[in-house]
Amino acid sequence: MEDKLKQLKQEMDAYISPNKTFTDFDKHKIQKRIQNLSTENQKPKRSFIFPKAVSAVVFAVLFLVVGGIAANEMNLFQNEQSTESSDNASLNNESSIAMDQAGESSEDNATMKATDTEQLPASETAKQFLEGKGFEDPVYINTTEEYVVTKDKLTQEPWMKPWGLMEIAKPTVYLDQDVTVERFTVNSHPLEERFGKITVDVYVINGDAVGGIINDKEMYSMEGKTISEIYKTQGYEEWKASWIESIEADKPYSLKTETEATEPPLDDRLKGIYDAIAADQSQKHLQGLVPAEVIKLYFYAKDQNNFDVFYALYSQSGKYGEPVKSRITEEFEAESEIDPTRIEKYVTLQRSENIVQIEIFQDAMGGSFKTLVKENGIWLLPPELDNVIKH
Amino acid sequence: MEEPRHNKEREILKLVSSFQKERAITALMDEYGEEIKRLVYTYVKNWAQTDDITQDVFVTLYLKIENFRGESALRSWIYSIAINKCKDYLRSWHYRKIKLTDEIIKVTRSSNQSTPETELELQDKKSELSQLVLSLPLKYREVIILFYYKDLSIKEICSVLNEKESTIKTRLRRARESLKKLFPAKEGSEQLGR
Repeated sequence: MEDKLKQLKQEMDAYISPNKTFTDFDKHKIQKRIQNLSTENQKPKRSFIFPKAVSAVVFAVLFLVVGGIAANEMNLFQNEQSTESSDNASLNNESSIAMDQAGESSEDNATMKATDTEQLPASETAKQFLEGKGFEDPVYINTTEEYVVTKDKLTQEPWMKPWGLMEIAKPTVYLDQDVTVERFTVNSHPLEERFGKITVDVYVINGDAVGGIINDKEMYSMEGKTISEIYKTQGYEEWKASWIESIEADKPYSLKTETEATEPPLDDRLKGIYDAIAADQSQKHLQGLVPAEVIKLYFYAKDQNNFDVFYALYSQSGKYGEPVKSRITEEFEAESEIDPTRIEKYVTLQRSENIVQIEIFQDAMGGSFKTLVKENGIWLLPPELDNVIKH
Repeated sequence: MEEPRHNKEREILKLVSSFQKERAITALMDEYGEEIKRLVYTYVKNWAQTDDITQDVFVTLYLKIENFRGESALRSWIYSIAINKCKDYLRSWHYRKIKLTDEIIKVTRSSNQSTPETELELQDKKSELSQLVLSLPLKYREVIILFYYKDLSIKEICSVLNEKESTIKTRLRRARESLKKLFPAKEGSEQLGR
């Protein structure tokens, strides 16, 4: 019997279930319950503070009204115009001083928060992401949200939409990970005229900024596009249905985005990035660019006959083939059918989380493709296509 | 090479002390989810309830992990929470109602739907011992499960079940005796069947 019992471990495991019993679904359910617990814990605090605040305001108003009436009855206020005006002037003066002081203190707060930001890796990562996107001096506001990425979060409002706007083909790769949403205001955004001051939310996971959105009264992509504009769907509901389906099936969302070719070939922001790469050949300047933008730089470098920039757009890791200069030079010098000045649009076809194909449309014709791979959050050209297929 | 468990436990406790409870629970689920769910099943023998109780266990861990003082191994502590949850459930009205319903269904099925296939299933030699263990009364079943299936030492079982060593040893002996009695009877009936 003892010998038989020693085999119980294997036998019992097979008997209970030969397959894994504790699944991702269990994990999500547990995480959801924990999140609900956190929310419930916060509720009483709010309901406890809110009535107190209301009572305080009511008492303050009552005190002023009663005090005002009493003072009036006792003729404490003289109705002399000159005194009143001078009093008002001094009041205005005081209030403006108070406002100035408030302004200073809010500036102090902003400075304090900025200092906090430097200590917080997530907000610092987010800031660098925005700077990489060409936004000057992003001003940190706060962490607006922190949660664990679950299928529920990816398929329910209000969390679902930002994930769609960030154009992440397979957000399920982030399941069970903590996401921190860092809010900034940014200057010099191309959409500032349309939106006024721009508020952006950057999503940080494990120290990486995975994307961002404009979050004003409505949500837009970082380029100011709506879901329907990005995905070329009939409307939000159509996108929502197919998005939820892809999340539930744990498959990449069949992303198909179109980017207008800019005239002149590069806008100011991309031109700035191009110049920065030309100066130091560093790929860090490509951080935050979408694939179509990298392709724009590719054609521009070719057109400008700048091999340094052209070469810097290729993956250097060896993962997708060795970046042999002689071979890349051939590509650089080869006569291309594509004339960058005649490109009308780029259609991005997501093939996997880290591989996209860009279809280039010229003279209303598509059919020319460029493949890009993502490494450390940066889209690059693979030196050898065969190596991409292996991945 | 797989990281030793005590290293992982240390990492998890570090996460707790650095106020990263959610991450700690995710790590605990990765490390113990499967093990705990199977343990729970040996108590309640019903998958729907196993799912619910396993969830309860990890939610309780989330709420209580800061209270873990390290007086026992983390694993023993998690086991004791899981076992208490199971026992609470087995004492509940809900369980008794379900058990009654299950038994009615079982009786109906055995009288109406007994097929050669189900007979074969029941006689599946590979799962024979497991079936017998799971059919033991709870106090014998749990010591066999913890000692042979979960590889806990007598001392650990004492800690998990909050019982004296002598009690555990007695239960283990009686559980073995019960199984011994049941086992030859089954083998004999099989031989007769041939």
